[in-house]
Formats: sequence, C-alpha cells, structure tokens
Amino acid sequence: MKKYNFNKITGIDYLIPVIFTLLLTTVFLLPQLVSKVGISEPDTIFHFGRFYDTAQQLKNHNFSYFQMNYGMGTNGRIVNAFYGPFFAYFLGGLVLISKSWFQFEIMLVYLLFLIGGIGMYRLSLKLKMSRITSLLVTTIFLLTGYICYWARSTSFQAWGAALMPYILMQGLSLYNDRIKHFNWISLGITVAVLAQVHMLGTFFAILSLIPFFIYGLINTKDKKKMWIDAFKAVGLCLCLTANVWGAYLTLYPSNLISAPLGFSPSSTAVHLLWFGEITTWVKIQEVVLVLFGVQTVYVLLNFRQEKLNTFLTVEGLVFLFLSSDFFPWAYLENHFSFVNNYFQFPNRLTIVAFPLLFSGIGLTISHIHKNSGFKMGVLANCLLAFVIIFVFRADLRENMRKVNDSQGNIALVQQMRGRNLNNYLENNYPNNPDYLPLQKKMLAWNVSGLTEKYLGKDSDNDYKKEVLPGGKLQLSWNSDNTEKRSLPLVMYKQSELIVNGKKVTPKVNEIGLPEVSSKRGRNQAILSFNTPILFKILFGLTMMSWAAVIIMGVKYYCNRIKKRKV
Amino acid sequence: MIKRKSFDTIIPLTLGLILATILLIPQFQIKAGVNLSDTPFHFNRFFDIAEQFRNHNFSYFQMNYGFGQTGRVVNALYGPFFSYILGFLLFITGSWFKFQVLTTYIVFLVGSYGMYQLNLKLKTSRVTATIITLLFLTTGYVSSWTSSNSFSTWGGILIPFVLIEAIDLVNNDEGKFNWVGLGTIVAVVAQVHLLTTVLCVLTLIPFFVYGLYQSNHKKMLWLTLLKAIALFMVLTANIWGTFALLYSTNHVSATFAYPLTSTAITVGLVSVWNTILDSIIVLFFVQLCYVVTNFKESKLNNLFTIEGLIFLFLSSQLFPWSIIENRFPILKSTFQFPNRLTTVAYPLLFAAIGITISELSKKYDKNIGNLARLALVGIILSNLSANYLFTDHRVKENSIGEVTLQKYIDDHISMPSEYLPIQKDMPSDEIHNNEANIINPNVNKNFNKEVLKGGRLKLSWYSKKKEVILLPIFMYHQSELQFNNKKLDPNVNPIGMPFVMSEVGKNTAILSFKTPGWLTILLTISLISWFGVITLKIMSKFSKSFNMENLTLSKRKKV
Repeated sequence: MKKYNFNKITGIDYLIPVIFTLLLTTVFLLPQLVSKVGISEPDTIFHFGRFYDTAQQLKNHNFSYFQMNYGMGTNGRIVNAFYGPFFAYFLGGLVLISKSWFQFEIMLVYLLFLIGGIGMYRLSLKLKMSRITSLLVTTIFLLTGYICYWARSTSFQAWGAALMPYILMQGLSLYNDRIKHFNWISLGITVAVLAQVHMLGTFFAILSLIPFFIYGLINTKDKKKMWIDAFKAVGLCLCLTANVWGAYLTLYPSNLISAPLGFSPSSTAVHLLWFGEITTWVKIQEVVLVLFGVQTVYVLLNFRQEKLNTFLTVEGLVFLFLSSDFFPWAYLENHFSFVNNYFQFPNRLTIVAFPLLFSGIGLTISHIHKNSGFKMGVLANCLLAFVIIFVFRADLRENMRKVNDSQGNIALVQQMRGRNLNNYLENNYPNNPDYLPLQKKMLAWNVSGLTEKYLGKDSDNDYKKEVLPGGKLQLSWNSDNTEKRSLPLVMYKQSELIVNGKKVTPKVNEIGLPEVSSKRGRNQAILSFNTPILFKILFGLTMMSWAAVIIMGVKYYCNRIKKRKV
Repeated sequence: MIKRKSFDTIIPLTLGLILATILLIPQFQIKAGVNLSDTPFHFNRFFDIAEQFRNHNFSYFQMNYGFGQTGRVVNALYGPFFSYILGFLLFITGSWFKFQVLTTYIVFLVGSYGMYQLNLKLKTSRVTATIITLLFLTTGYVSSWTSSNSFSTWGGILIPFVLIEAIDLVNNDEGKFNWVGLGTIVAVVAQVHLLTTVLCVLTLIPFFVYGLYQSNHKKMLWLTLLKAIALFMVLTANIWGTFALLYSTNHVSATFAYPLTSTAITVGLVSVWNTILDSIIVLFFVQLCYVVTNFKESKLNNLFTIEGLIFLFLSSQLFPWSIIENRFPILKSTFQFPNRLTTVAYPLLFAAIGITISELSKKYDKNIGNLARLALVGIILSNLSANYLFTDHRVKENSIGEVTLQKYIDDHISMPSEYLPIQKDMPSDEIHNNEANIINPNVNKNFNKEVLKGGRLKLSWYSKKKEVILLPIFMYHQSELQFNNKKLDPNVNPIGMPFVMSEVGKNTAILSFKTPGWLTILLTISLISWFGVITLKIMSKFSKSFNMENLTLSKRKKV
C-alpha cells in the first residue's frame, strides 16, 4: 500500500491553514450563522458606507476617486481617498456580489481570518515551528485582540492586525540579513499593501520593523548594501502608495481637514492590572497574561541560547507596555492632544505586541520540544491549547451576548438581512467627523454634532440626488420663493459647484456646507471635484508601479513553475 | 540537622504571616471589624462563648448570650470545642477588629504549615514546597476567609494534615500506619467543622482502598483502621452524643437550603467561592496531561491527581447538579454548596503538581523545573492580586466601624433557621421568615433578659392584664421553663417558642437545659481523651525515648 506523504502535496502549507481557519471561523461565527443576525455598530455604518460607495462606482462605471456620491450620506465628502483607498475598491467589489449586508459581514470575517490565519501560519513555519505548534499559535493569534474584535465591532484596525504577520515575516528577513540578504521588493510591496488597507496600521508596521532593521544592520556583513536596499524598499513603497500620500499632500495644505473623533488614550489603554473576561480592546484575560509571564521568564532564563526568541519577546513586551496603562498615557494626553485624535487608542498597539509575543511562545514550545524531548513538547503544546480553550470560550460567549443584544432591534436586523443594501444606509447615518473641510479649528466631537445636525438622516429629504457621469453629483429641489439655503453637500477647496447653470463660489458653514441663493421654482446644483494635476500624476505613478510589480510577480512565478517542472 | 528542621517550621510560618498581612491590608487601612457574609452567624457563636468566659457562667448547650439570648443550641452542634477556643480568643482580644486579624493570621499560619509539611512528606524541594504552599494559600476557601469569614476555610486548612496521614495509608507495606495521628486529625476536623469531616472521610476512602489493594497485610490494615476509628469516636464523643440526644428527642430543623447549581464552581475573575481563575484550570489540565503521559512514574501522583480531579469535577458546574438537586433535595440543606468540595480538590491537585515539578527537575535540566516553578509564581501573583482586589472591595464596603462586642451583636443578631426545635416539617425559608424568629434588641429589652448562675436564662416583664404571650426563647425537649416559680410545660409555636399566660404585674420565666447524665459522661470522656492525646504528643516531642508508637503498640499487645 502506498503511504501518503503530506509533504509531497504542493501548497500543503497553504491548504492546512486555509482549511483550519475556515473551520475555526465557522465555529467562531456560529452565533451569527445560526441566528442570521448582523451586528451593527457605529463603525459598521461608517465602513459599510465607504464600501457601498465604491461598490456603486463599480456597478455604474462612474468612478470618482475623491468625492463620494453614493455612500456616506451622498454628500460629496471625501473619506476613501484617505482611508485605505484601493482596499475600499476591493471590498466594494465584494459588496457587489453579496446579497445582503449580513452576508457581506460574514464574508468579511472569513476573509479577515483567512488573511490573518495564513499569515500567522506562514510566519510560524518561517520560525521553524512544527505544524501543530504553528496551528496553535495561529489560533490564539486569531482569537485575541483586534482580529476577533472585528466580528462584533467592525473596527478597521483588525485588517492591520491581520496583515501584521506578513510585516513580521519581512522583519525576520531584515533580522536574518547576515545569513540571507533581504528582498527589498517584497518588503516594499508588503508595507504598500498595508498602506492601501489601513493607514495607521502602516505606521505601526514601520515602528515594528525598525528594531528588526537595526538588529539586522548591526549583524550584517555588508552594511552599505543593506542601507541601499532599505532605501530601495522605501522608494518602491512610496511609488506604490503615491495615491495615499498624494491625497494627503494635495488636500491637507489647502483644506482644514477635520480629525477623527478624539478619545482619551489613558482610558483606552490595556488594563494589565485588572483581569478581563476576554482578550480584546482594553481587556486581557488572566490566562493570557500568565502565558506572557511564563514566556518572559523562559526568555530570561534562556536569553543566551535563544536570541531570536528573546528579540521577538522583548519587542513584543515593549509594545505591550506601550499599549498598557503602565505607560503614562494620562501625561501624554494632557500635553500632546493630537494623540487623542490620530492615535486614539493605545490598545491599538496590541496588533504588534500580540503576534510578536505569540511567535515567541511558539518558538519557546519548539525549543522545549527540541531540548527536552517529545513528552515535554506535548506538554508545552497542551498548555497553549488549554489557554486557547479559555480564550475561545470567552470569545464565543461574547459573540453570543452581542448577537442576543442585536436581536432585539428587529428593524435593524431586517435592514441587514434585506436584499436592498441602500435601505440599511438610508436608515443609519454615520456621524463621523473624519476628513470634513472645516472653516476653523474645532473639537472633533463638536464636528460630529454638527455632522449629525446638517448631514443627518433627514437633511436631504427635500432634495433629489442624482449622480451624473464623470463623478458629478446633481441636486435638485423646489423652492417656494427666493431664499438662501445651505445644501447638504460638502465642499472642499477643490470642489466646484454649479447652481442653476452658473459656477458659484458660495459661503460655506463650519463643516463645509455651501449656502446658495435659491430661486423660486425648480433649482439645480452640480457638485464636482477638480482633481489637482499633481495628484493625477501621482495616481498614474501608483497605477503604473502596481502594474509593473504585478507583471514582474507573474513572470517570477511562471519561471519558478517552469523550473520546478524541469 | 536541628537547623534544617527548624527551617521547615520557619519558612511556612513566614509565608503564612506575609500572605495574611497582605490580605489584611484593606482591614488595617480601615482599622475596624468587617461584616462579611458569614460573620454574623459565627460571631454570635463566639460572642456567646466569650461572654461565658467573662461571666464564668458556662453553658455547653443553651446559648444565653449570642443569637439574641434565646437559649437555642448552636455551638454544641457546630464545632463545639473549637468554638470554645475561638470564643476564648475573642474574650482576650476584646475587639472584633483584633479578633478578626488574629483569626486571619491563625488561618494562614495553620494552612501554610500544613501544606508545607504535606509537600515535604511528598519529598519535594523546599522551593517547590514554598510555591505550592503559596498556591494553596491564595486559592479557594483559604483565601476567601478575609472576604467571607466562611467556616469551610477552617476545614480547608486542616485538609493538608489529613492528607499527610492519608499518604501513610498508601505508603506502607505492613499495614501499620499512624492511627493515632489519623484518628486525632479527623477528630480535630470534627471539633472544628463537622461537614468537612464528611469530606475527609470521602477523601480518605480512595487512599485506604488503594492501600488495601496493594497491601500484603490486609487484616492488619483493617485492624489499624478500626483503632483509628475507635480513637476518633472517643475524641468526638461530645459531638455524636449531642446529635444522638437532640435529634432523637427533637425535630431539629435543617440548615438553610441553597440551590446547588448556582454555587458549583465555574471560571471567573477571582479564585474564591464559586469561581476560579482560568490559569489554574489550565494548570490542572497540564497536570493531567503530565500524569497521563507519565502514568508509570509515581503512584501517589496518579492517585492525588485523579482523586483531585474527581472532586473538582463534582464541585463544578460540569457536574449535573440540577438533576441531583431535583432527585435529592435534602442535599440542598445538608451539603449546601458543591464548591465546598474544592477544599479537598485544591490541596490534592496542588500537592500533585508539586510532585510533578520535583519529577521534572529530576528528569530534565534545571531550566524546565525552574520554568514550571516560575509559571506557578505567575499564577500565584495573578491569584493574589485578584483576591486582594476582591477582599479590598468587600472589606471597604462592609466595615462595622469601631463598635463594642455587644453593639455588633445587638445590631446583627443571627437568626438562622438551623437547629431549631420545630414542631413539624417545614422548609427552611419558612422558618427563616417566621415572624416570631425575628428577634431584635427591643424585644429583648421588654423581657429584660438576665443570665443566672448555672447557665440559666431569666426573663422578667410587666403585664397590664392577663394575656397569652409568646416568649422570645426556644424550647427543646430537654429545656425546662419555670414560670413565676412554677415548672411549666407550655404550648409552643411551630418553631419551638413557648406561650405563657402572663399575670398582671411582674412576671418571671427561667429557662434551663437539663443535660442527661450519660451525655455528661460522654463529654467528660472526650475531654479526658483530648487531654490524654495532647499530653502524649507533648511528651513524645520532648523526650526522644518516649515514642507514642511504641506505647500504643505495647498497649495492643496487652489486649
């Protein structure tokens, strides 16, 4: 009888995490899948609005990179261009093939877990862990922090978290530069992908890569080559993300763009002293903390033999410390208030801390397995498995609770189940102040109040909105007499408004709503956005470099397959 | 050698001191007694004894000072001798705050000493013994003393001593174990907390069966066991005598009934009462994995682990307590809380973990053993911090301020539904809510209660007219009531309170408890035997040549 050899199957180490993650996600999502209840949080409304916009652009072949004509209250505000633009288009495509928001939500959880699962599994294998240990590390990675938080909160940080293992793989290459020179192309591409998904995640990614780079630099044989390739990677990354930084570069100097909502960092730091019943957001479970403690102790006892493990653990602990209430966030908050708006939650840093620490734990298990024999290895794996049981139990319970809570709002449940996607968005308006053009400096929370007042649910009841070819938004309304009225549109410096066939430069209110004189009878206004030439060039650069990268990638893989066949 | 030995006393006592001090910090901060869930009940018991000492007016059965001066019987049925010890401590400390602090120290010192010695008996290193002891002290009932004053704590700290004797049941080829020690320690448990005695017996059965199974001297083993049981019976004559007397002649009400399901343990954010921290369960699982993969290594480890896990399973919500509760409702009042079983499960499992760690450090390099120990330190720390925060919260919320002993008792007259001489079967909550049971200081003031010599309780009151009134006292079959100098056999209400026909003007009633002669003899026997056991122990401690084992063996030969 022929014995089946797993290792012979091509791509087995992609197949394993895919199947495993699919199973895990299914169990994790059971409360949602059984009850068919979608969860709608403030973030859900915000992000689904973004994706609906790109979905409609794709559907109507009427593209508008900046001005949003379909989602986010159809008022021409700019969000996607600042917030993971290309990924927004990708998810918009997914919206098109989903039959309801609920289905879309479920699909996204699977996608998120798959990306995170494959990444963490590959990272673990790269760290030379056994398959079992890799799967355990992958499981605990998926079930803690922002990734599992996504299903109940739609906090976009999760996507940054899911991509973090890929970043860490690049980090490892930097670390191992002495043995094998790192590949600047994949480094640049990985960071660029993250930038197209989640801006703040990119910032953390770079923070996390710096220690790897420094270590690699100190130990490498050819320092000059490493510097040069690092700059090449930066250059490539800049080309691939020209649309992202280009948008900031062209809009921020000419507009006073509203910051995202401010939160007190000191109250959203991870509580390390008080145990939580779950390991997400500001809470961390006691088992997980103890596990980190054991890992720290192991590293302390073996730091001579295990440099990589020590490195990963120490970096992870530093990030955990920064994310926690041990760090003087209250002080920073009082002295540097921008932290509140752009950084918002110190617990975001767990997206770096967790994968680092879990990788360290995996390494520890592998080493125990190697040094102390099979039995001890089994015991160490069991330890991790039991911790996972408790983490999973907490997640499932929280998921069930959330679904039960959401079940009560029958109207909302129906909106999310319904085939008419617009229904949900029409009934739930995002009040996020993000990226509105302000006239003077204002607290983001006040902007949010104004957004609700001027651009809230009933703001466009009297208006008929229509999207014209070329990404133009047309507003028509009837006036009983000549009057001044402010239109439910958002005008940036680059926006152009044509009222009743005449180009106007109207006075705008605090959050950029134009005030126009309306004549008796039927009125019409058309809002369009003049994309600056500079940005057009940068956008062309981005598209070209992505095309180049993809072509090169395809060529590379074709060659590899050819070689393998020969 | 001597130095080594004294180390093994100093270390556990220091550990106990430190932990008790840490958990007492909240109470030191408020410098006052605290009223926790079980405090009123027990403090009424001890207050009664303290007053007996203060007034030199002893009464073993009828309680004339605590429990609203109603003459009910509680202490005699609930750890009698030990309540005299604690009552005496209350008498000399004279304040609730000092008394609570002192008892907390005693709990931790005794618990620490016992667990440490158990570990040494299992041949673990000192470091491991220290860590396991700390784990024991920060988990479950031991640690819950400062946040609940639950008396299972006292049973819990004695379990390690019982286990020390239990090991001998297994580890002997000739069937001769220390029956004096075994009989005595279980008797101590009985004098402290009766229900724990049942748990002790349950714990000992597997050890005995296992010992019997592998012993070549089965007859001898049985014989020694019988001797231990006989000693136990003699030492606890006061307890079973009391039960025989009161239960055969009275319809004594059962203890309060609790739903079993809700008090079974589950994972939570603190390791006391009905919750346990996740990490400890993880630890137990890992221990199980170790035992399963190393089954041939240590019989004792297997026995401790499996028995511990069975007890843990029984105490947990995984066990179908709702079915049991419906089938045997009696368990609700007799057993009350499945989480009591953790008093046995935790020391068993912790001791087993100690064995595992010793084996690990023997088999593998030093690192693995150290890692395991440090992992336990982590768990201890998380346990301690959770317990500390919990205790802090409970203590700060329930301060009783600076009050005299009497004031606290007046404010918190304990009126439990248990041990009342009821007239017909009724559920405990019905007894509890019976109007007549609700005694307050005003009622007592109207009746002007006074304790006479010989443990008699005198009530005197004025009546404006001839009327039937209910006296705020309880009458057992053995109680005697003298109403206006005439012996009276009154009618009683359903919970045993007498009605009398009050005269116009001044009335007096005197309640006393007639102890039958045979019970007095039993009481004396148990007192004398305790005296004997203690003397023997002291003598064997001081003169090396005087060996208790020899003495008892020679006695046997004579017989």
